[in-house]
Amino acid sequence: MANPVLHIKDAYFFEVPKFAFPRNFTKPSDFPSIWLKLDPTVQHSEAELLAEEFPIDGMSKDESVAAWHDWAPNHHHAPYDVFYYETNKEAAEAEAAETGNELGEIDSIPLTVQKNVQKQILNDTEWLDNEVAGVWEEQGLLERYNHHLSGKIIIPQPFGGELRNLHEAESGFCLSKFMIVELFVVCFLAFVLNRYSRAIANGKPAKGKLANLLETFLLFVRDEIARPSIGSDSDFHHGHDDHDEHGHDGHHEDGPETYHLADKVTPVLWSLFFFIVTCNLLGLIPFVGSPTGVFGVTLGLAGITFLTTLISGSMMHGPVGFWLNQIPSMDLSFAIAIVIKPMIWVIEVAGLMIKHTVLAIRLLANMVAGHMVLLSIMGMAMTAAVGGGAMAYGVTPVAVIGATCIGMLELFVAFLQAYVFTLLSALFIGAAMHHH
Amino acid sequence: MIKIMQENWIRWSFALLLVFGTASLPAMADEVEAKAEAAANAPTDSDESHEEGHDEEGHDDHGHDDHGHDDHGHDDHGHDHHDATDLSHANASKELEAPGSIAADMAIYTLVVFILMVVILRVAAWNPIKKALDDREQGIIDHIADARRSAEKAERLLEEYEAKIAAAAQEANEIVAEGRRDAEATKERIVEEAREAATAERDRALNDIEIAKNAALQDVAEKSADIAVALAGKIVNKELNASDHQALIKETLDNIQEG
Repeated sequence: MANPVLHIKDAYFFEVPKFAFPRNFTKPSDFPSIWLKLDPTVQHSEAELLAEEFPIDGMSKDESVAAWHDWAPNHHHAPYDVFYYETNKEAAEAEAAETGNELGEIDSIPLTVQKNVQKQILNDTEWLDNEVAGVWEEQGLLERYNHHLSGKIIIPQPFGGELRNLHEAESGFCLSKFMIVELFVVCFLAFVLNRYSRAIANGKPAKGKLANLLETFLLFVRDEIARPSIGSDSDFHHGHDDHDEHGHDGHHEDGPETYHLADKVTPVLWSLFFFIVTCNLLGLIPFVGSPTGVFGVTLGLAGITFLTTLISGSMMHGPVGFWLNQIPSMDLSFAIAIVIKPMIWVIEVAGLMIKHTVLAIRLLANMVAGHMVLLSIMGMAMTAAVGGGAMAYGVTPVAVIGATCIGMLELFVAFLQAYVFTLLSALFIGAAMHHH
Repeated sequence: MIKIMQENWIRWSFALLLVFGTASLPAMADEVEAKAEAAANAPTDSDESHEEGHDEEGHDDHGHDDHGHDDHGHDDHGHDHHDATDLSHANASKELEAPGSIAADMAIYTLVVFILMVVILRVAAWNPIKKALDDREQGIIDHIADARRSAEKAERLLEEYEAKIAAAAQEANEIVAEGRRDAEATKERIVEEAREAATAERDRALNDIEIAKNAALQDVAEKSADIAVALAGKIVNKELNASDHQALIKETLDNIQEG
């Protein structure tokens, strides 16, 4: 593993301890095709085939392959098609800079051609198991590859997605680790909450530890987040000038406050809270990882908040009214208003977008930061161990205790960030529903 | 011992982890080193491990996942101490190591999965939970109202019973007072009767005494008259006629009465 960030980021395999999932492939054709695709021998063969049809400008086929060989080690061992594209891009950019023309379309190897070549190579079992196996034998790669693949359960890609490597997708829709984890979270929540809902049906009191725990959170989100942030029904009936109506408007004060409007949004906030807190907590389980440490997930969640804001705001003020409502009410003369109001509208709408993006970044940064600290502390122990000697015996307990303490902090942060995300979502939704 | 371990299992497992973890470190280090060696021996055209800006405690950390300083001193040159036989992140794009890289497919997937979840949970959990919580709330409100009604009723009944008890006590007092009054009256009547009876008895006795006295006086007068007559006859030796006799008696009687 190269960079600890890769432990936090999404991947296309599940990692387990190596002894729990050992790999003992005996010949190259048994290896997963994504692994073979990245093997230097296979890539060389692919480069030769591709260079025949797509040599670099002004080079022969062999020169192109040789140029790729020089280039690849400094470029993460990218295959020939990447080299081809990058070289052409450089040339085109140089030309554009020289002539001052627009950058034209850059020559690249069509995906279908590349796929066909790869298919052709990977289907040639005989070649793989003889020539490639020979190279691997010579360099001791079979054993190393088995070692690296041990403990990696590669996720099958049923939707035709193509992987770039085990951490990145190339094309199409690829099923990643956190996508599966998210599905698991949904199923888990549906199961647990459904059981709870049946346990308290008809107003029975909650019994048992789990039910009471769930109820604490459910009631907290409803009574402490949703209702205060969005307000009671009477807040909406009063409109925005409720201050001077209180005196002579007695009929709302009859009976307890009702929260029908706030309760309409509560299920979304409940879902947000439970989804985020479960995802955050999964990050504390070794080998699982937290989906909320990935920008895509937090952006998706912020998208949910934004959609809810948009829909609930539009339901209160109408689709046009929602956008007009972004301008705060001001007493301005017509001449000034016609200048100022559009500018304020632009600022407010930009603010609306930024608020929701920041929501995503805040959650992401909190989860990534915590995991980075944990990785650093454990990395300290690993460094000491590799350095060898007695130092490891001093550093390791400190690192383990430190990691445990940070783990406790992470446990707190997991709940705190779920709360913060839910609270801010509620505030944004509430702000959109009220008159400015 | 086992009981103590069961009670404090978290502490014990943590302690054991610490002990065994520390003990197994050299073995782990050996493995990492072997891996690094193998990587170094592998005849690849890969990156020479190029110099870091610093050296940790004077030892070189071969093959170890060095962290925290991948951001500097590294353009497109792959990683430091990179194991070329690990193909899991070969052909990496520039975004691979950026924690904030945007995965649009993940964002859309999350959005879709989340909406799906809200829809599923709405049916499977939120609506029933909402209803159950509302039912419970209503139940509690009803119970409080019931309790209030019951308390009011109890208070009313208490007042009623207190009034009844007070009335009963009043009645009892009256009965006792009446009884006492009756007793008093009876006593007085009896005493009166006794007194009357006594008075009557005395009067009768006085009467009897009077009669007896009168009779005795009569008797004494007659006797003394006879005695006087006899005595006088003897004295005068003369017989008195009857009228003289009578006049004499009468005269004597008057004398007696006067005397």
